Formats: sequence, structure tokens, C-alpha cells
Amino acid sequence: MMKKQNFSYIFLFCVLINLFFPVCLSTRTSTHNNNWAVIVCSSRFWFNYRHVANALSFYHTVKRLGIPDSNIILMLADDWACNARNCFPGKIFNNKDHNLNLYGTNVEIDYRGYEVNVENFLRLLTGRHEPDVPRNKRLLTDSGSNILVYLTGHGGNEFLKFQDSEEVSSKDIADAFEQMYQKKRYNEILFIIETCQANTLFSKFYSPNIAAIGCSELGENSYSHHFDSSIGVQVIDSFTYFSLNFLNNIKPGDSHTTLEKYFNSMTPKQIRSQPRLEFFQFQRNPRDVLVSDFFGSIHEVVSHPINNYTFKNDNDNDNDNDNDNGNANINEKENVNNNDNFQLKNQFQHTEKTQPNMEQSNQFQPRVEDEAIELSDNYFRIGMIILIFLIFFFSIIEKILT
Amino acid sequence: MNTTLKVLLSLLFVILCGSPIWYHTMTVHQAKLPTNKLLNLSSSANPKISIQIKLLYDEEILKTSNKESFLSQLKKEVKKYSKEFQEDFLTFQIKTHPIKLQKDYNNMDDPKKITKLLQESLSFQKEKEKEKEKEKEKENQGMFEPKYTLVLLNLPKLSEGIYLPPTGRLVWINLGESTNENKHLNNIKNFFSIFTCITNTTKFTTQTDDLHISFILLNQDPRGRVLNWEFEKAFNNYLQPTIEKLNTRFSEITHDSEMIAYADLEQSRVHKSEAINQNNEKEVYYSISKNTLRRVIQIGEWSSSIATNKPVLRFILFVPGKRFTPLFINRSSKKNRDAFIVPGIGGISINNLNNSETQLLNKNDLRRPFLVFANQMRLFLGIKNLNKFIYYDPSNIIHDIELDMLILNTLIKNLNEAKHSLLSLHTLIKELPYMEIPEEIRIHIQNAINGIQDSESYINKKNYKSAYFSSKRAIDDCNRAFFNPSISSQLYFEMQNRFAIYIPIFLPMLAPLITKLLKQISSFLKKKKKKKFQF
Repeated sequence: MMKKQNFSYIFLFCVLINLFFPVCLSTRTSTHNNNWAVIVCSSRFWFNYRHVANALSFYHTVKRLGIPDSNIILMLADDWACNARNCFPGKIFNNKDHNLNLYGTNVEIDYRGYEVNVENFLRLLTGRHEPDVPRNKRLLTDSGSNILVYLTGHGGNEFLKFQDSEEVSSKDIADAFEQMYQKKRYNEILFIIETCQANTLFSKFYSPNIAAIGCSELGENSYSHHFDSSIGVQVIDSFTYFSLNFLNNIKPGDSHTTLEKYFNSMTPKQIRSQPRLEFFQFQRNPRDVLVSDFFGSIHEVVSHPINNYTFKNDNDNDNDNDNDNGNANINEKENVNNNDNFQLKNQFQHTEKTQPNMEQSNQFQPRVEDEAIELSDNYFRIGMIILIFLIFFFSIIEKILT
Repeated sequence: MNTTLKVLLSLLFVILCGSPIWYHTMTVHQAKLPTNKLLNLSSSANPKISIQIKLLYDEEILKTSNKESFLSQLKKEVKKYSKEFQEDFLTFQIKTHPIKLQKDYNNMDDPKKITKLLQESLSFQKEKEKEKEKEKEKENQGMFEPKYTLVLLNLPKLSEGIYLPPTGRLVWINLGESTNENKHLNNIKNFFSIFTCITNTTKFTTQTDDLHISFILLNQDPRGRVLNWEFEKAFNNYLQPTIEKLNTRFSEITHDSEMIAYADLEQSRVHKSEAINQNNEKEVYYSISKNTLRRVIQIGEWSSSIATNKPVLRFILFVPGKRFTPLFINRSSKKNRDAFIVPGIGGISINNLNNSETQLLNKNDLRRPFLVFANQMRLFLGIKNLNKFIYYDPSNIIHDIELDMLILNTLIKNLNEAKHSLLSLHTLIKELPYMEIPEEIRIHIQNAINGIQDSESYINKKNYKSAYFSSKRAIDDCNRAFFNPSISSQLYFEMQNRFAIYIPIFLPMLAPLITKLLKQISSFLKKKKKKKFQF
């Protein structure tokens, strides 16, 4: 009995301590404000049709979710659409039902054919271009950019094949990411690799804030999903097929679907290999990472009232009827820039009433998330209080009964 | 000729010809980098920038319950505030001393006059006309010294608070008629908060300070109304002075303007509401909530067509179509707003046109939107909004003190980044021992080192303008060195690759020579053995 009581008091003590410390359910500290995508199909030859279908499927997905073409670098190593063997000239399908032509008029390919090589890929990542390389072939990211890097093709133990003639190793990619980190050219990176033994390609990463998804372990192959008899080749890989099944249900602006959920939607049984999701020195709680942090393009917005600045040498009439709240003359109870609210006795403008909400204008954390964290903290505290009350109540009852 | 001799001569010939060829083709030119200087510089601490503040007060005017104790407390508190508000690279040197204000300020109620009188009376104490002119010239060229004068006054006709004049570095605090010393000290504390006005949170980009600003008039629905605007007049009138000030002292800001039509709104996200206007009539208006704003307006598609190497900051004046006029952004507290900023993209101001027949937005119509853009530009430059206890001249968008702090913060940031870049580059070059290092990289690294050293020496000489521009050049050279296209591991071969290249060339030549030589040696040895046995 005594031991039980001691235990309950110790438990109570721990609970009380937790009550006084705020519970931080999320440690989001990123300054993310734009998204980029680098989508690479590194294979050539007609029989690697499925690789271009994989790449174009992801291309259309990120476009649908909001990333504009100016922020997408698409690298396709061969021209399957206009291949002599293509019985659907100018079209590429990722499904035997031919529901969607992936190669429509709305596809902007930045690197094509033999331009897709290891040197150009690494130059793209590190930013070391020749001076004559145009802007659309440069990764113009900054410290607020989240980058989705998707690679598909043939690979092996710590390498990815380019053009069937050269390879990029895991160390090269890791070093490239480190150089990006040194020059603050990314906020976070999501690295998705779909090749044989894909998971080995991120075994050497050592830079922070990188999440990596691979579809197969060392010694495993990555398999195609199905064959299209009319085209005569496999049209899509299993990993991409099941990824699309999940991603097609995400609407633009989705702020709930986490990366973990996306990853867990693909089972080893389905894709016939062992996928892996790994986070490298991720600043945020990995469970809070959303799919839309990389796949979409949700811009944070901060609304603000204007300060009471005016312009010098203003020849306007002082009594102009410009209502600072807009021209609609709507009678609002809280009129932000109404001079009557000022305590001024003079021409200088006091910032008290016109000061924008300092928190709002200086923070780029979405207000919704901050409120959600606070709400969760409150629920937790209320729960703890109820728990303490219940412990006291039952211990008293126990004493009475004994 | 003896076979052995032939073999030996052939071998010698191959080695003598082949070695220089191998050496010259395999040797990589590596320019000698100033490694020691680079490492010393990277590990050295930045010099501290000292902000000098003269706190002046007239003992006769000062209203406190106990002057002596207030003055002694003031000196202690001021030291505390200077530590509280100082950044890593900034130190405050504060001197307090009494003055005698010759004019009677008690009956004054015009802050501008008071500022002018203070400036005249304080400057006459020490400087002559010529020196004044020299200082003005320096100001015009962008040179400055972070020396500030803070004057304590007790003016009954004005509100209590800090008065920040538009130009110059004289600030005065009106302590009012109160004798409450804690209040006075609080006001003085608020003054120090001006020096923490710079933040990276709202900054448009941390990569560079040179910007291109694109002003876009976005007409949602031009059917029946083709809009135009008097952009040049409005810009020259409202924003040109501020941008010129920035161009002289801080960074290169260029601009252009554009008109775009047919911007889509996701109609399902726009709410129709009713309100009662000032005439007690019902009016319909449209609103979008802040949470749906990010999806409602397709910012990514609204790019300007400018092609520039600088980051493009967009200021968009959005004119909703007749169908969605007037349009506002709702906040949760039901206040309506008509402007918002999108970090990394720019700012948007919604301009509702009451009169559907309007076709030209003249300079007056553009006054308010340009005010909004001016506010947004402050945020994008990283300048926080002023503390609520500070009175400022509203005709000056960026005050001198704020610009001083922006320059100093950026200067130190540039130095830190340049040193970090050089160190990263050094580490990278070390990891690629077979990489060619062209003279170009050496020159850029040397220039970067010189730039950093110049900047630091200018800081010590208190010439902050030159220090700032030197730091800018240093970081530019660092980036040119770091992003040089020749730094690519794929271009260079490691030692085993070198052998792999030359083995197919030399092995066929050397193999028969070596085997022949070995044969000759073994036959020579056999002969020797035979001779022994014969004996």
C-alpha cells in the first residue's frame, strides 16, 4: 500500500512539473517561403519508357499542387514522345488505360537529351554554371527554399546511372548538398530516389535538414508496375504508381497530410521492395513535415495595416476623402487609421494605434499552426489537472475504504 | 649491336620521352592560394562597432522628485540598457552631461521647430560654418558616423515620448510634466530599442541587398475597362527620394513597371457579405479570409516579364473586377484589410475602384497604394516597425538611424559570410587535390581577403561607408570564387585514373622491352652458372 502511495505521489510530482513547463508539440523554426522541384530521368533508350513516365507523373503532380514552371527543373535524358517506336507519337502515358497524356503542350523540359549528365546535374545543384547558362536552367534557390529532388533511372550500390555511360555516386550528391548548405541555398530538401538499391544513394548524406525516401534496400530491385501491350513496354514503376495513388488525393492547399503518412501508404508488399524514409539532422519534428511543404507551393501571407506614413511635397488637399480602410466607405467599428484615435497634439504621428500587430508582421509562422500548438498545450494542461484531481479523489476514497 | 644494349637503350628512350609527356599532361595547374592569410582571417573576430550616444539634459528644466538620485540612477540604468540592447558586434559608448538650453522650450508645440532649434543650439556650441558644410557634404556622399545625441526635455504642450526627426542623428525625449522617475527611465529605455530595428525575419532575401523592384498593375477583369496608370509621376513623387537615399548609401535598387490583365481568383473562396455604410445603407462587399488568401490569389503565376540577375521584388496593385468590387481581406477580428505581403515574392495592395468608368489611375489615386508599398518595402528591407512610443515624421519612410543600423548590420553580416565562404572554399579545395585551380580563383580569393581586411581597417578608422562597400566587394569576390565553374570534381582525375589512362599507352611499349630484358638477364645468369661449373 505504502509503495503504491509513494508511486502515485512521485507520478503526481512529475505531472506537476510538466504542467508548469509548456508542452512544445512542434519545433517549427523554418523560414520557408518558396518551393522548388528538380525532377530527373537519367535513363535513355526506348525500353526505359517507364522512367520518363515516372518523372513526368511527379512533374504534373507538383504542378497541380502549385509549383510554377519557373520553379521546376525537369531533366529528361531521351525523347520518348517522338521516338520512332512510339505508336502514340507525341504522347506519353503512365497507365495502360491511357487516361492522361503526360507529354501535352504544358510540359517545359529544361535539360533534354545529352544535356542530362552527371556534370550538369551537379552543376545545377552546386550553382556552378558557365556564365552563358540561361536562368531557366539554374536552381535559383535561397535560404527559404524547400527543394524536392526526384531521381529515377537505373542504379546500384551507392550510384545512379546517367545515360548508360556514367554514374553519379552517393558521395557526389552528398557533397553537392553540403555545398548548397554552406551557401544557404536551401531550407529543407526532400530527396526521393526510385532505382534499384535506391536507399544506398543517401547513405552518405551529412548535411542538415534533408529528408530522403528510397524505394529499395541494398540488394533489392525496384520493379515496374504493369506492362502496356499497345506501347510494348512497362509504363510505370510500382513506387511511382502507389505514390500517385496517394498524392492524387491531396488537394492544393492541404495542410494536414504528413510525409510519414505518404510514406506509410506504400507497403513493401505493394511495391515489392523495402522503402525507407530517413531524416538527416532535421530541425523540425519529422512528424510535422507535411507533403505540401515540398510538393505544393503554399505561400505564407502576412496581412498588415499601413503605418501612418504620408509623402512629402504632397500637393493633395488635406481634406481629401480617401478613406484609409478602402474606398468602399464601409462603416467599420474599428477604423484603423482614424485620426481621432490618436493622442497627438501635433503633426508628428504616433504609432500607437496604427502600429501593425508586431507579432503578425514580424512572423512568418502560419498563425493557424501557432494557435494549434497553443490549443494543444491547453488541452494537455486541462487533462493533467483532471488527472491530478482524479488521483486525489481516488486516494481519498482508498483511505476511507481502508 | 648487343641485344641487351638495344633493349636497355629502348627502355631508356621510352622512359626519357614518356616521363615528361606523362608529367606535363598529368600535372594540374594549381594557383598558389594565400592559405595562411585565409585561415587567419576566417578565425579572426570581427571588429566591434561602437555607437556613441551623448545624453544631454538641462538640470534646470529636468522635472524629477529628486534630481541627484535620478541622475545617478540614470547613469546606472543607461549602462544596463546598453548591455541589454547591444548586439554581438555593437557596443554603446554613452556619455551623460548637462547642458544649458538657451531658448525657452516650454511654450513650444511644434516638434519640427524644436528639433531645428536644438540642432542649431547644440551645433553652435562647437562647430563652425565650414565644418558644418563639410559634414553636410559627407552626408550627401553617404558617409556617416553612428554618433547620436539624445536630449531630455520637459515640454508640457507635447505628448510624452521619443521624437525621431526625419534627418540627422539628434533625438529628443519629451518627459512631459510628470516627475515619475521610473517613467522617465522607461522612455529612455525605449530609445535604445531603435538600435534593434533590423530583423532577418521579414527580409526579402538574405543572398544580396541589390534588388530589382517590379511594380505591376494587375487588372483582374479588363472587359469593358482598360486601365492605365501614371506610374512615373507617382513613383517620382512618392518613392524616388527613399530609393535614391538607399542607392547612395546602401544598395543598388532598380525598378520597372508593368501592366498585366486577367488574373484569376478562385471564386469559391470569395465570400459575399453585407454591411451598413456611413449613410445607413446596405452595401455588398466581398472578402477573402487570410487563411484562404494563399490559395486564392495565384501569386506564382503573376511574374513580371523582367529578366534580371537581381532578385525581383514585386509590388502588385490588384484591381478586382467589377464583379468582386469592393474586395477586402478579412482578419479574425473582423477588421478589413487591403494589403498583404508574401515573403520571397513581394507585396500586394488591393485597389477597389468605386467608379467603374475609371480608366486612368492618376498620381493622386496612386498615393495610398504607394504608401502601402513604402511600408512593405521597409519590411522587405528588414526594418521593423517602430516602437509604439516613438513619434516620427511621417514624410520620411526610412529614418537615418534605421538606415545606419541596416548598413551596420549588413556590413557585419557580409564580413561573416565572406569569412565563412572562404573557409568552405578552402575545405573544398583541400578535398580535391587533383583539381585545377585557375589564376582566376586565386585572384578572386586574394581580392576577397583584401576586401575583408580593408573593411575591418575602415571599421577601425570609423569610416563605415567605405567599410560597407568593401565588405560588399569582398562577398562578391567570395561568391565568384566559390561558384567558379571550374570547381567540379567530375572534371578531374584521381591518381588511379591517371594510371588507368596511360597504362594502355605505355604498357604495350614497355611489356616487350621488359620481357626481353628479363630474358637477357636470365640468359646472362645461366651463362654465369655454366662457367662456374666448367671451372
